Amino acid sequence: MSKATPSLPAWGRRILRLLLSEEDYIFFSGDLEESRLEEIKRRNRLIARLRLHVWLVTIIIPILMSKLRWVVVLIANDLKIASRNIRKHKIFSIINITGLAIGLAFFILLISYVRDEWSYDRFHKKSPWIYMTTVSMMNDPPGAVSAPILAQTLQAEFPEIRNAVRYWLTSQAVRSDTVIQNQDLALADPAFFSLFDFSLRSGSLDQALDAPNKVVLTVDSASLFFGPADPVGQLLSINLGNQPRDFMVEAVLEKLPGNSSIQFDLLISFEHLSQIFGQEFIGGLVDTPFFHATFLELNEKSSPQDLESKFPAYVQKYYGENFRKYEVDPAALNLGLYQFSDFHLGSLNGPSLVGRSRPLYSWILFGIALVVLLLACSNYMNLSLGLSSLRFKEIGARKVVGAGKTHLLRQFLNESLLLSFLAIAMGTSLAALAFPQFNHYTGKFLSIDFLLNIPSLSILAGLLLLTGFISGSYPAVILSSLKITDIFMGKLRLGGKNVLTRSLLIFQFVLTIFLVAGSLIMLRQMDYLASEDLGYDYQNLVAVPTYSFWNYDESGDRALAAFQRELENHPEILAVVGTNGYGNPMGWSNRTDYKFQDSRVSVFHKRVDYGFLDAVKIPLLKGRNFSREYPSDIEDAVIVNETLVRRFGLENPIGRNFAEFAKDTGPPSVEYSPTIIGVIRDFHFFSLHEEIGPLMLNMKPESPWMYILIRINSGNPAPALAALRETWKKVNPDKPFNPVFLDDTIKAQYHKERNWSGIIRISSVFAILIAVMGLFGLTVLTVSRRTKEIGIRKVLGADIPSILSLISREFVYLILLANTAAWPLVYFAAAKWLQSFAYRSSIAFWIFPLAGLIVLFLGLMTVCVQAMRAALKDPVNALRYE
Amino acid sequence: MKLLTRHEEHVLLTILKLEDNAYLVTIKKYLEDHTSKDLSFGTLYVSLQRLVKMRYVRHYLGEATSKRGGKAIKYYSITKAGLRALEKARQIQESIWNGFSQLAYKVQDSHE
Repeated sequence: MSKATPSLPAWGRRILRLLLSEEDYIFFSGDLEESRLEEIKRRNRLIARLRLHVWLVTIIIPILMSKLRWVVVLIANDLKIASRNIRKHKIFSIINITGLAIGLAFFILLISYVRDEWSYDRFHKKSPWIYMTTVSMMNDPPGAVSAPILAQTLQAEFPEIRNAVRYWLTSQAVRSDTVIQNQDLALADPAFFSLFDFSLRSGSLDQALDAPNKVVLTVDSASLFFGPADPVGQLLSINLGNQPRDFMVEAVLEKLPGNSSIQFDLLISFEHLSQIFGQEFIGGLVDTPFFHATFLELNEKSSPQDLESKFPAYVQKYYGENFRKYEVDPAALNLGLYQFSDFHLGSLNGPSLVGRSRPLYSWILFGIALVVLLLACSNYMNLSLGLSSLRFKEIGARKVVGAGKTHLLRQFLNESLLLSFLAIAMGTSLAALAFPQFNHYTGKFLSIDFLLNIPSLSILAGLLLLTGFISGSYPAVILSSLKITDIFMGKLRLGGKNVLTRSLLIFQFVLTIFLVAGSLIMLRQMDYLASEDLGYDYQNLVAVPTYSFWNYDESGDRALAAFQRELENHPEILAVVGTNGYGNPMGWSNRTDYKFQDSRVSVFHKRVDYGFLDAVKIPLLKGRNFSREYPSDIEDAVIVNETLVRRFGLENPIGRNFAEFAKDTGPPSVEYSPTIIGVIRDFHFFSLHEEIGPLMLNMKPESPWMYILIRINSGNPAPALAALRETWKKVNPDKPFNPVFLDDTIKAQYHKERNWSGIIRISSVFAILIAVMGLFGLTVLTVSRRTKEIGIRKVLGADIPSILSLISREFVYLILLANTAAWPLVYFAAAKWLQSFAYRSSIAFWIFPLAGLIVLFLGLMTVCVQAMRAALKDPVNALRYE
Repeated sequence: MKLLTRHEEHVLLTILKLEDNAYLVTIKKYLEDHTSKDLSFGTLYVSLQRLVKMRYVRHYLGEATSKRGGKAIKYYSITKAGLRALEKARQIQESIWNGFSQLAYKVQDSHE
């Protein structure tokens, strides 16, 4: 016998030890040991192992059966009766099980979403000890920003800090032999990978950040620049401080997890910062702005509060002198700590991190998930209750032959457990099937896998027990306590008429109306965001990125001049202007912080060209436009927006110089105090989530043109694009020509909202579906119970409408009642939710009756279909049915 | 006295025939060889427990061998009560089977 023969599997031994006495276990396992070898002789290892397991099962089952004999018999009997009942009442069972399954599937989907939101940044092993430093100046809201000097000095000063990692995310041009592309470039200190766990695909991380000119890629950026081959050891060129530099690929990371706030395409050593900004910038203390993130790994034993309380002394020590030089109180600089894993759902601004989301959204989804599950459960309960009233005779017979109360209880519970087991199996598979579609809506990468571990499965099992227990217990208690004589006299009625069923129905409809009205309001807000006037005309506007960021060359100026010279008279092209903006062509390109009456006001710059306002159709409210007649416009003049005028409280803005009312807080060498020559209407230069800030348009060439905006005629854009391309290729043959349409980029900005409204829409459809299924089941019950009554009424001359109203009247009352309860709930919830938007739609009051009508209409439809069938039946059949 | 089932009867007879060497593995093998049907250790164990409980069978310990992972053998042997039960079963069998061949012959005849 070879040594490879596997021994008895541990699970088998454990079960046997449980089943047998200590002594017997020893002998029995000895017997098994002996013949195990026999059993698996002359087979290959895998099959041998497999056979061993099967063999053990066949051994354990008879022993188990002999121990649990009576329990097994009883449960088997209950299950048999249950399966007969399921088959007998097919429609109910299908409605019951699918209703619950759909509710459950939906619950699983939503919970997976919520779980993902809550799991952000917790996958790093050290996550409980990772903190970010935060800074706030003069009571501004704190931000996760810090100066380069902070990391070393903090670490030197405080022994409780085990590691300090500086991290900055920027966007830089990257070039391989075949591709030039702007990429998210991260700079980090060497300890980065000892704090954060990202999985490695190839290469080595040990020394990847120790020295300059090494780069770590992610799978996506690796394949973008190098195709499918392993790029480790290859060279890549990154533009830093207007100068392309070569980097050697050290390692490739797997795709960064979706639930990580740290996202980048490339990662290089933090030392390169000086090449972007210059050495003196990095070394300086107070003159250095706070801009990147600093992560601290704290000692397990030290508390962040204690550490925070020592920070004011630190600030005095390191910043005091410099602050006083500028006549600023160092106490205005507030240094703090923030737990990194709280960042995603928190309120902290972190420019180097991505994808903060509102905790409200996951709470709403969690609420909807619970509501849908509750709906499905109450549905299920209602139907089981109604259904059990059709089984009085069975129960009576059981009682007569001596079934006790506990026995009946157990039977009903087992039955509902069986049903909910079927529902869970179905629901889980439905959810597994629905995940791809769900991911499409949520923009996440979720799968059923999160369920496939012991804790989740046990929660699911608990859910099964709970659903089965709750929905089975009421009928079980009621039915098991009935009097036998009452049962056989046919005196009893359950379901449809009693208080519990009605209140469950009302509860269901309240929830449904709540969801329908709530989703209508949410959808309206999303539409509002999507259709809100951005303040400029983005239709037929094409932006050509100049890629002058690659080496700050003249290609932007060249192209702009060429476009203006050659295409000004093109019939399809109306205007050509240059502009600068981060992220999108209408964004801002620079920022100056002014001190104004003890607070700090950030004013955003946007470099524009003559004719910019006309090209994008932003109206000038006061003053004049930039003009070639005033050469000083280029250096000194700005056109500001209304918000800026309001923020600084300027009564007569035209002609005012900034120096008169606000002081640039930056170093004196770059102080900027232009003169206001005009005021424009506000336009959204951020996304619509954010309130419009103070903005000034200037012409100062702070950086080369990033975009050239071209307004074209509506209709076919092809000839204009072809002409643009031709001119572009003439002046910039080495740069790619990638025009974008502004309305596309704006649509892309709102894709989160679209996803969100998609989820909301699906959930309300599901909720309605489940509620309607419940109603359908109940109507079927009512109708079947009243067949005889309907027959008699028809014989006596009742017409179809009167029978329809007979059956549907009660449901209509219930739905109307539910409306009155649901409306105030929706109103308060919606008002609260809308407060979180800077720009919000009003709550239109027609939404409430509309939601009520939708639910009423669907409810009536369901009821009437059934009622119609009953009403159209030949009364003779109805009266003869017993 | 309760009647033996066919399976119990077989087990008792096997123990009797195996004499000093009747333990779970050998009993199982013997039964499988003679009935040409697979038998689970679990099933056999359960019926042996029943027989022990009815005092038809008693067990005694053998020595441990390396083949069995160092575990001792639990041997089974039949008791007097067991023998009586077998005797009884045999009587019943015989009285019921009595006359089988003639009658079977007859049935075959009448069909031809």
